[in-house]
Amino acid sequence: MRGHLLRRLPSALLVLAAASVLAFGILRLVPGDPAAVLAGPDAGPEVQAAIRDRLGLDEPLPAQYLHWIGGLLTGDLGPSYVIGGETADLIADGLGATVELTLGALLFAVLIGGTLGVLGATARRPWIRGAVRSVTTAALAVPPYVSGVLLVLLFAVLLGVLPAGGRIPLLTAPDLGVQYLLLPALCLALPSAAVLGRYLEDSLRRALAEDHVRTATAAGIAPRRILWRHALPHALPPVVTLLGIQTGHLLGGAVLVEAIFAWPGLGQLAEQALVRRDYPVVQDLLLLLVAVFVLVQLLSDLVHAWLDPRIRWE
Amino acid sequence: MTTAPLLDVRDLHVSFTTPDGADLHAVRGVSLTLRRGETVAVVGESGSGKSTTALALLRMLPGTGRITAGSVLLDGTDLTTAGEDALRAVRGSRVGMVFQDPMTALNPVLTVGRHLDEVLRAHGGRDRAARRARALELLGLVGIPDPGRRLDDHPHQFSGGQRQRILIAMALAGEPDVLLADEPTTALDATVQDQILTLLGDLTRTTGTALVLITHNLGVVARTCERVLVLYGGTVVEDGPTAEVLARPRHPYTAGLLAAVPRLSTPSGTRLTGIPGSPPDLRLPLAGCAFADRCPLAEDRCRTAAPELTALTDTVRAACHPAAESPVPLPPPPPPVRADRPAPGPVVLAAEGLRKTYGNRRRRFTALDGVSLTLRTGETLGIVGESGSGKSTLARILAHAHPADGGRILLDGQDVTRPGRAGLRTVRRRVQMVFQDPYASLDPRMTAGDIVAEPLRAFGIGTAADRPARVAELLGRVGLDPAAADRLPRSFSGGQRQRIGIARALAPEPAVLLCDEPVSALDVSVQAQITGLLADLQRDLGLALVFIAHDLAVVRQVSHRIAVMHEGRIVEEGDADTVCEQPRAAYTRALLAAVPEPVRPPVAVPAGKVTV
Repeated sequence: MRGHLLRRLPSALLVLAAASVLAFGILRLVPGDPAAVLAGPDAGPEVQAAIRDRLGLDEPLPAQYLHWIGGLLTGDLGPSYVIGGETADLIADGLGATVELTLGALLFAVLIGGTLGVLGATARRPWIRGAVRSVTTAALAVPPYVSGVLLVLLFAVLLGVLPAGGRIPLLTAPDLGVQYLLLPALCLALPSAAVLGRYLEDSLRRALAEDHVRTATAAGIAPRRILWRHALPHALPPVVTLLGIQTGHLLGGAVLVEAIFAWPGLGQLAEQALVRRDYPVVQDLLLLLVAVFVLVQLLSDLVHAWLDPRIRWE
Repeated sequence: MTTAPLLDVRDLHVSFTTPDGADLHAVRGVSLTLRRGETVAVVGESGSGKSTTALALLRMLPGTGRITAGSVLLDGTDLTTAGEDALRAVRGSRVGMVFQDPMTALNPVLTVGRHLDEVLRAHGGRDRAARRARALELLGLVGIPDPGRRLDDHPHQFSGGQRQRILIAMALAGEPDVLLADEPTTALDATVQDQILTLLGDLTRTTGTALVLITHNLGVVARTCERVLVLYGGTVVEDGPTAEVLARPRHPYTAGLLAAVPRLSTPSGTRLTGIPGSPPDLRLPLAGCAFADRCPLAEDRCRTAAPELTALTDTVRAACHPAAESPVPLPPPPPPVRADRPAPGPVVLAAEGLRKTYGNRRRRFTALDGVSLTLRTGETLGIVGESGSGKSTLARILAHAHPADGGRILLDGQDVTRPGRAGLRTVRRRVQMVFQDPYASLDPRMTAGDIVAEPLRAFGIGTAADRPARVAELLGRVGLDPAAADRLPRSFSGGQRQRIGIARALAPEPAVLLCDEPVSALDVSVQAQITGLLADLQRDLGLALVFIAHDLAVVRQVSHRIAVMHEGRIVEEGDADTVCEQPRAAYTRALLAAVPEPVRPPVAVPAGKVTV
């Protein structure tokens, strides 16, 4: 298992290095200039030049890149250009909120998707399978800005049981925090839950048709045990891969959902930083996103090996 | 004996719904009784309903399958109406089941010990240590060496034969009264099949378990079971003691099936005997006897009134109008006749010292280890060997699907081991392949005509305008109606599909046809049609054939010469009759000894030298 991870490490580091170059390069290619934003519309060119000089923007690009990476490696993310304050602090503030939202959504996606998938694959009555199909189609088709508004309308306005927006950190006040988390997490989770459900249903149906499931049935093993011990472990590997990819989608999708529910997370920060050309913040955020993605892929590899002993022996 | 039977199946009917909504009536009134400790074989070809019957007994029908009529009484309890919990108590504990493919029938993520433990726990074993002890005992019983060390291994660490032993151990774990074995040896090599049949025989004798063995192989029946039921078109056509039925068949289908089984003793150059026509379409309602369309004795009433299973002697019953009125068994089939074969011509394909290794630096597998052969026009070279012997690798290398690692290939005297782009085209035109599985080797979305025309287009043979005529000619040549060119593969039977595969191979006018197990996926009664077609094509076109198969009896009949492969080498090569009658290599002798024969074969003429 450890050898397995060590073999993956070089490629993971390579991906991170390439991502850092891309994140740095793309921002420089996009029109717009942080100095112009900072200086404001009325400032003359000499003010902008002074700002450029202060921020190091007149250095050659490779030097700027090395400066940034060097800072990253020593743990010094430097000040933000436009928003103000230390980049590290800005990210740390939003990170907790976004991680909370993403994990909540992931939990919802797994619970809802898992239930739908198992129901769709094992229900004997055709109308249940039809209902599952309709629910997943609807969840996939409705974009978050519609489902979010509908959820707010139903639970916050009509029923009045949950708040419409904002956040109270879960760790400071779990009972209140959960109330604030439920709606945004559900809204973010719906499309992922639908995709997971569809995949699991298909994968599980194939696993249930396998010969060894027939062997277990013929041996008199209980259906519940056959589902959990024999069919699900076979149905899961492709779903785990998908879950890894979906985690990336959830992080990206958080931008939209955070805006709808006034959730003070990284999505809001990313939007501000991008609009105002705050290079260091955007770069660090992009790289963080890629790092999380790489980590999740490594994790899903580990889960694969855990699910299938044949991989462990490779 | 007047004791009530252990298992009593009465007039069982099973239907499936096909995707287009039609009803497929797979089992049409099967009745069978099984006494305690009895061994019964259920024999039939694909579509006879034998596996469906077995699954229906435990209500394990897949998909849309359902029992539409009849009863399954186990000690007087009807399983067709029993609740799910009652059924689960029967499965594994009163009736154990073993399936065909041991490579997929075990859960790859669970250890062998867990497999056995699970079954034992499902049937009331509460004490963990006692279950482990019992699992060890069971593994020992089925002949897994050193069970204590192997209990925590996973299925992929065992060979195919060992996995089948483990499955038998699982089926026996609950000490069932009945063991249902559905084609338990079909996926195994002949020598391993032999061991598994011996094991099943020993176990049923020592434990007193009754055995229902489902198989298409009459040799397996003769080797293992006291009684045999012959199924055709979803009904029982004959039922009686194995020795009696195999020696003196009453039903024309049984007789035809027996005559169609290739015998190891039949000399080279003899045409296989088959049953004309193809099995009945189970979607259609059946008015008379299912076999009437293929039967040499069929009368008018056979097409209108279904014959009942009637007792012909004290022990034998058959469902056949003419047989019911005849006091004597059917006459034995005419002895096989040797066909005239023109003498082979000049050498067309030769290989010298072919080598092929698969794998990486850490794990190497030598598939071919210095294989040399020659092939003349108009000659058939049979290649036999068990799985992993390298015979399919050899075919792929001769067809240039893979490059050889070493050695030389000569086509018409020219070195084509590493041909250039143009050379490769020539080789591919001159050397064509016929594949094993007629179901998987045809694109289901292409019509028969397009499949046959594809090589014509690929090699730029003829013009678009005259290709349809050429396709029609090719289809006619392989015995298909040229009007069938616009039908899709799924509307053809297995034998017909293999004919399409052969027509496709013939399209670019090859000199050499490499046939990799061309008949092993086909029913015995249909095999003869394909081997006969290949022999006709060889005679008419002067084709050189490489006939790769695991079935020595078929290979002997169709081949001029035989090469026996083992672990990537040719261990023996020679005239087909000589190799089968005076084998020199120990491995050849083992292969020959493992072939199960149904009954003493009819004596072949005019080959006076046969002395097996």
